[in-house]
Amino acid sequence: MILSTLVTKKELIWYLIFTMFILLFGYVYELFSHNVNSYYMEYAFLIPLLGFTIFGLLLFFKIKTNSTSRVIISLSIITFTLYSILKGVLEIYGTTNKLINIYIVLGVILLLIGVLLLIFKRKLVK
Amino acid sequence: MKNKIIFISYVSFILLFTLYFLFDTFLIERKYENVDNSNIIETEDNKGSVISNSNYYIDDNIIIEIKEYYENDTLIHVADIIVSSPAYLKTALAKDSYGKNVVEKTSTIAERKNAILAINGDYYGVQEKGYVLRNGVIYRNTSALREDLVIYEDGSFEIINEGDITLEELKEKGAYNVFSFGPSLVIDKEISVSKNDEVDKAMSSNPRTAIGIISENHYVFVVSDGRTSESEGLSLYELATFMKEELNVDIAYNLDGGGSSTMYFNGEVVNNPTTNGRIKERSVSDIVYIGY
Repeated sequence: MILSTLVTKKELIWYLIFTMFILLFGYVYELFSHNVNSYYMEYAFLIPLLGFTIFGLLLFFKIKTNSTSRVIISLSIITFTLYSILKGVLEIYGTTNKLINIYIVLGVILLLIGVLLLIFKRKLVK
Repeated sequence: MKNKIIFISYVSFILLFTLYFLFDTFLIERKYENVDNSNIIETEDNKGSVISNSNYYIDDNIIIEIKEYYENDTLIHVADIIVSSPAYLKTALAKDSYGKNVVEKTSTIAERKNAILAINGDYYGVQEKGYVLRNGVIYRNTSALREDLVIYEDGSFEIINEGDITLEELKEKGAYNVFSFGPSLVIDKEISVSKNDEVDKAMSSNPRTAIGIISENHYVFVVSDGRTSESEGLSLYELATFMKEELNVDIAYNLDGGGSSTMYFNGEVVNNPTTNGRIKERSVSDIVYIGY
């Protein structure tokens, strides 16, 4: 049986806390970076904020979605947020590391799986 | 329950990977090759009589004078250098090895090399690209499209763009040392940075390290203090203006600054290097020095 549920308030609160934590982290990190700034660090909070907005809209319009696909999309948002924070750390230090691209690859894969699962399971439910 | 397992498993994995990523970026030392000294130009070892104190060093081949300036609320240390041969202007890598996260303090490398005077170099180790040619040996030939300083065997300086010429071509032209950091500060006695130019995202008021040539066999090393209440730090434009107007350099080039900025003379660190808000010398990949 395939269960579709509404986004829970718990999920929204989790997104809100995550967004605020990333916003605070970026702010505090740049306080100690001797005026060396990175947009990746400053605006990393926009990624979980986007998740909060999308999930909030799903709840607002009472659109039921598969909970597993929501978890996988959330994992992709965590991955993209980590990418942005780490890219900021590298930029502020003035260094590079090719391994950072792994976050983009993982984030895209998770996002694709999450979205495909969402579409596929909605069709099955119908 | 299934969702919880997926979530916890992936978050654990990505956090562990992030830990590895940070270690790989900042801590894990990887030596790719040992320094090849086969191309080093031999120098005359006979120093003659030596006169030296905390501000001067004079022998038959090398004359160094350390001066201090205070401009733009910043303490600037200048080493004025005259040598009988450009071979006394040398470079060295940390732990005598080329690699990633291979670092030592400027003063430690300088002591090992018996340097009379030394400053930090371009910290090639934090970049994955950018030309690295030291003492006539090519260590990295991948272009980062940066503006580089080329020091030729005859001691002359040239500013080049990595996109315009390969490192192999530069070596054929007689390049002996190439630094990939920048930007250039002064070219042909004219300031080559604008007021808005900065290194990557680094804003003004920072410690800086620069090298310049005034005339044949006449060089300057410049290190400015910063990030302290006593010394604010310089913007690149302020540094360029100082080197042009006060020191009358023909060509000047910005090396790695911030916490890396260090000047060593006669066994002592003469400036106030700042690391993480404290007066502390940071370990770097490479140095430029004067010595035998």
